Amino acid sequence: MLVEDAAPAATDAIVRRAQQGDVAAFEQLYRQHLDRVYALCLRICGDGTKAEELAQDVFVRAWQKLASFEGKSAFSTWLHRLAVNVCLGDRRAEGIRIGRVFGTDDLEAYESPGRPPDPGQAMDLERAIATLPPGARTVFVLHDVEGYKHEEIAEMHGLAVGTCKAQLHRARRLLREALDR
Amino acid sequence: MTHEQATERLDDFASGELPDIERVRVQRHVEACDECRAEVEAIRSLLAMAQALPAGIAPRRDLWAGIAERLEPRAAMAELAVVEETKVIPLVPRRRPWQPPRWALQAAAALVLVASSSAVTAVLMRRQGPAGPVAIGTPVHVTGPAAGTQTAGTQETVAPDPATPAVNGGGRPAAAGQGTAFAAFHPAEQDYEKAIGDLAGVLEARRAQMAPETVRTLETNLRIIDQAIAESRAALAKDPNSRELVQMLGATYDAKVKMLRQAVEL
Repeated sequence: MLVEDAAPAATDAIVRRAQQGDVAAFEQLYRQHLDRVYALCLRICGDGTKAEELAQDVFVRAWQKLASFEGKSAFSTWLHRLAVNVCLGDRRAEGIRIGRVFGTDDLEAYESPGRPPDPGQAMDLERAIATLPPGARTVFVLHDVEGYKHEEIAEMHGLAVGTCKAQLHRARRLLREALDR
Repeated sequence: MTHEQATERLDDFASGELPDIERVRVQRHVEACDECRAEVEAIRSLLAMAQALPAGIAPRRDLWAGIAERLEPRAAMAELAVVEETKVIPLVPRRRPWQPPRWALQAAAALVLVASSSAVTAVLMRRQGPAGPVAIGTPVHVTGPAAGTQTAGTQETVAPDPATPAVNGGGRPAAAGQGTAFAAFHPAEQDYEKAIGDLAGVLEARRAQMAPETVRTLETNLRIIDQAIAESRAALAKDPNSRELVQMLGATYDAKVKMLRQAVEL
């Protein structure tokens, strides 16, 4: 379910300029893709402040790696995969920390300043996702929200596909319980 | 298909991820089983909600300023990319001023020093070599940032006292004569110097991002390792055919490269 760039040719030109060291062009890429990257970081880590930090890391890493982007996939796809790697890398680095076993109370982070608070179903689901245990939350976000296959998630995570499926099953069950309350 | 077998496959079935044959079998069971049908409907409803979530969420503040200050000039990045291609330094991004595991670096440095010194002493004692001054022969042209300075065409004489290292980084005397184990190690030593120089260059570029205490710790530990290298080289100057000493020198260089790489990666 990866969203391709709206205007590939224009994006390609901006990417080329950024690859040549044009910081203004890179800022354009940042503005185009920030919300998507931030949403991914937020949903995976479940913490607004941490998600901001991760999103910054993603763009710094993108700048560092931009030379290796060959245009074989859409820039958004490349950036998204990079964002997933940064988030998963951060999770690995943190390890399983007791304080992060169960999500976050930072639910206001899901309420973007650019849109009115949505009392509807989507917000309920966002809140429920935020309360999932980290492993189940990551797999649910990558599989059911972002559209990655189990094999891809397992590879990125360094998990067995079966473990990945078990995490997804757990996540779905917990979410349904949370939404039914 | 039994109810239990079907239950195990409902997640994949609802997501459309089952192979055709299995999908048909589960489908038959679901049509006949109220419980499984309700389960599939619930999963599909959740999936629909998940896929309807907004693709993007705007953060509460603009993050650009924090990103822009961390962007290194493209030229510098190109240099880093070259280093990366050599597979010497797997660079990883850093989020905040580096807070090193001081105990780990200190322990590593101390270990190198102790191991090196003990081994040098052991080798020297076993060999009980001549105690007179040893002329250091063929000059070596040392390059690379880690070497600090270049020395060429010099002839040095060092005292045999291991406590007075003849060399440390720059201004290094060469291996005695051709055909010795020490001389044979020279190409490898140049490779080490190159890797150390590259890593030191990257570290230097990042120095401003490091906490002062971190820099101090790192420099202290590097001095310790440099001392170990110098001791090994001084011992080799006296006994240039000692393979043990050459191995020890190589191991000490390894330790230095490892420590620098650790510092760059963290």
